[in-house]
Amino acid sequence: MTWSGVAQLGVLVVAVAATCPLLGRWIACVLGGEPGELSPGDRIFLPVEGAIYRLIGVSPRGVMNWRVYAIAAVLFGLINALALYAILRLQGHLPLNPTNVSGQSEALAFNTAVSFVTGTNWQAYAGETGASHLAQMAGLVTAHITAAAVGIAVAMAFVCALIRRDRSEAIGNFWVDVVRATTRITLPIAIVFALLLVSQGVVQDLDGFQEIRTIEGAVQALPHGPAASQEVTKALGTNGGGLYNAGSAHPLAVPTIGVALIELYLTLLIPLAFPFAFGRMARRRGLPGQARVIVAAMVILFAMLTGGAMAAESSGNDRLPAAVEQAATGDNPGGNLQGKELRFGAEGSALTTVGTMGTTAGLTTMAVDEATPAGSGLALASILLGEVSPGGVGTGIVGMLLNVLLAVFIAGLMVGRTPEYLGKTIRSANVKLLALALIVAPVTVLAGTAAAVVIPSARSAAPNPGPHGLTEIFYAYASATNANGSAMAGLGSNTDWYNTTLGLAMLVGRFAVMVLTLALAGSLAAKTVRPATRGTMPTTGPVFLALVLAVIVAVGGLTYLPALVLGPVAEFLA
Amino acid sequence: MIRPQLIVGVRLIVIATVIGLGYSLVTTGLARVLFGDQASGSQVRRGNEVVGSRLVGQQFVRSQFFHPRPSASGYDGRASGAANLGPSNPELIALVAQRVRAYRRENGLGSSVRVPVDAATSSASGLDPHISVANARLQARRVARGRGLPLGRVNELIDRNSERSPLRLGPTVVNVLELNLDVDRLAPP
Repeated sequence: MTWSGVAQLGVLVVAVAATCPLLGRWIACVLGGEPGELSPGDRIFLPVEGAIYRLIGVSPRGVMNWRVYAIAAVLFGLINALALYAILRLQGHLPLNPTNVSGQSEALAFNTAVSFVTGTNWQAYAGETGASHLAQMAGLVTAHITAAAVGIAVAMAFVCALIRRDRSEAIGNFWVDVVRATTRITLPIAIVFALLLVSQGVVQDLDGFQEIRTIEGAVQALPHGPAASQEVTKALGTNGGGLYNAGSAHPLAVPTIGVALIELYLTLLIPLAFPFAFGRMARRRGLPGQARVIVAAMVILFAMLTGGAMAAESSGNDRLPAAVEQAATGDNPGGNLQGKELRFGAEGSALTTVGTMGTTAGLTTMAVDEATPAGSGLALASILLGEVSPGGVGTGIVGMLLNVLLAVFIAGLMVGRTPEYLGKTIRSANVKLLALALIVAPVTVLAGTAAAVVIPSARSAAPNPGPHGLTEIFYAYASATNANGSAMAGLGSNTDWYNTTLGLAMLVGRFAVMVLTLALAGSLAAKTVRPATRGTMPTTGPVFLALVLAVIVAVGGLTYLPALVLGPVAEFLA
Repeated sequence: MIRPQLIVGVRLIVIATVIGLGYSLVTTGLARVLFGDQASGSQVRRGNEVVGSRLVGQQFVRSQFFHPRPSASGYDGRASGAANLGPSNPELIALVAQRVRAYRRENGLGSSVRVPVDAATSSASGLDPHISVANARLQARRVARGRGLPLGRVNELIDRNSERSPLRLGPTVVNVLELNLDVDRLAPP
């Protein structure tokens, strides 16, 4: 690793260590209390929130059981998707369209609407020509905000159900959670960082393509647009996407390594803060130290996956002719620079891309399709492990807790004791829901990939020959199902087959898992809490951490090993 | 159970749309007031004319100019993106070999001189505005000869246009547009 890599990681670690615990505390205080309890910031936010509750017709004191919560969440997503679909189909006739973009086709608009509402942000279109400025601001950014809010809300409901001790079935109020998550968490952070990004050179205006004459007399179009505001919501909400086809590699969206690191930091901020919120809420109910294992697991996985990718990219592509100088010197940053921007360097690109792969944001400061086999393989692995390093806004802590429950269950089987977590017994009904929730994604990914590989027209959409082509298709289904949204962009996915199947994969991956998670939450909420005895397995400490990591890697690895061997591993060994 | 939630949901989506649009517009307004130059794309002017953006690369092919990195889209501002050629793709290997030969020929370099990787590979966006210092130095002789300038002066211009990254977070890079503008100023064609 070069000095640059060390400096980048150092700055990141300092920023995260300084802010995530504090934000976690804030999240616990504003969302983790009982309805009607006082929270910090009430004086500023309550009037605004109160007005919203009155406008939508909701009482902030109402609570929901898991069924009502799930219905609200699914309906909200459906309405959101319909609204976004309408905007995308009609954008050619709506105002604020200086780039003269016409409406998206039915299949594409379906795919895009589902994609953004599920927080995937897979774009089968090019940002410059596929979405008008109005669609970007009123449709896509709105979806960024709502997807993040829903993620936070469902995670809060799950956490509340787990640590609840009063045997109530209530897991929260979906509408209150969604509104509060936006007013007190995402919006304030977003505005501050959007302006910070503009100060660093990110473009933010309402103009279209500005045609200029270059020095040599050619014509070039400078693509203006409201980039900074969207870059922030795309990162902070672990969404993804962006104004431009090149995503976070575009110099008007991410002009410096500093901005790239800020975006990476924003994708880690809420997901890594959530375990601290969970830990604080658990501690208040007499269960201290519960966050440590989760934070440690997230950080260890992040370090291994991202560190590996940084090393792989900085050592270059050994298949290139020897005449190409890939060794790093003061004058030449070296490494595999195919599909990378020089201002980030090979390591910086790997860090700011692969680092976001485990957060469901899937930001691409480099072309994943052109990374070394190890680099793209580790990006894919981050997604396949279930997006828990540290995962998406809300979905990360939920994913981790599902793995924790599985670890507890397996440990219980091994020592012949009834598994219990936080004092609540895990019985067969719970385990069935848990298993279903964990199996949905792998089945969808593998079935989708298998189908696409078998159908000739779908297979031919992968332009790169050999195992790399298989990886491109596998990556697409993994990314869509796990709400990541990045792509190995050589895949020609703007076809009816891919738009439809990837859209369905996104729906299943997000909503089926969400409903199963809420059902599991419901089944755990009203359970009686047993006091800890000498026989209770501690869920703090290094032994449990090792168990959780083993479960994540073993379950993920075993499920996907054959496909990984045929794709990235084969290419790596060739 | 469904109907009341549906009504609330529709109303909330309307409010959310207003929030999303409002947040974007407010940011645009504040950005224009506080950071007008950056917000409008860091445009570079020569005289009264806009000749590009400091952040966006543009194509240069003439021998009196420094050349940028290869681009999959020919520096088309409407179509950003990468070539998406995998690392083991024979097409990529052939393309890189071809670029190495062309680079050596253009810059009068012998077949033992190794070509910096940024000069032989295309970028992720197709609009990369930078080249490495090594890349610039290898082109300096050609540019100096084309302009009738001493090599030392051209190297000085490269030094002046080398941007060091704060805390050395990123590589030191050379902005091709600004370098070529400086060359034009020093020795008008």
